[in-house]
Amino acid sequence: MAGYVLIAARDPWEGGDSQQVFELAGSLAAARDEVTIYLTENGVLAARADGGERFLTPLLAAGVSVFADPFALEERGISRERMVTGVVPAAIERLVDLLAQGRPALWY
Amino acid sequence: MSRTVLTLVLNDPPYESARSTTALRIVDAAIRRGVDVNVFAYEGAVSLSFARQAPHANAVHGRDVQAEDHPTTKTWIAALLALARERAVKLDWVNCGPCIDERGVDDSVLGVRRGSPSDLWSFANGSTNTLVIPTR
Repeated sequence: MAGYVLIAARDPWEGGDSQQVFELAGSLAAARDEVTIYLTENGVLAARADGGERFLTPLLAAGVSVFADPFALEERGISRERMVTGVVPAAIERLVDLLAQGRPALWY
Repeated sequence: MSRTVLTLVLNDPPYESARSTTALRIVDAAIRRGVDVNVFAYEGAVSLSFARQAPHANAVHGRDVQAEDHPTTKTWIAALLALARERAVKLDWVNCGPCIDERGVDDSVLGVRRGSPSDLWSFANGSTNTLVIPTR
């Protein structure tokens, strides 16, 4: 149980390689690893309801925690009422806390 | 009890990517959490702290330098260094020496030092965690 932290900073609709972070999260969760995804910058576009479910809902169902940077959400006009169910807005301090726990972290 | 230390590796030059801003936000949050921070600026990121950055006017919108109030990354880094001092938290910012020479940006804000990849090795060995923020 390494407790991986995956930081998704790219628009998932850019192309296949920007979606690899979600594939990796799914694989780690399937291997029974604890996984947290922190969405920031254009990565928060995955948190939009009526679109982002394809990326995040299966991961949430598999036990992956998904946080979204409120700063990035606000910059892009994504309101909390229009987010994928299960995604939790969390200030960047939450990311710092996860890193400070020594969890393996990967920036996508 | 040993202190928590985070090392960040930055690669992007200033004014080109949100990654630079996010990195500085992480540094700010860590300092405010009482976490010591090492930054190893590599490649274009050595220009983030370049002391001769200058704010500019915005002729298109008719604003002079003062009204435009254009932010510079060197000012933000100086503010982070000051915040760390104020909170008795360590912020050790090292710019990769060969990367500085390649770009001719050998004049950084006070508190930023020149180093080499061996500093990154030392940082990583002594840190609770190391986060590499890559270019794209």
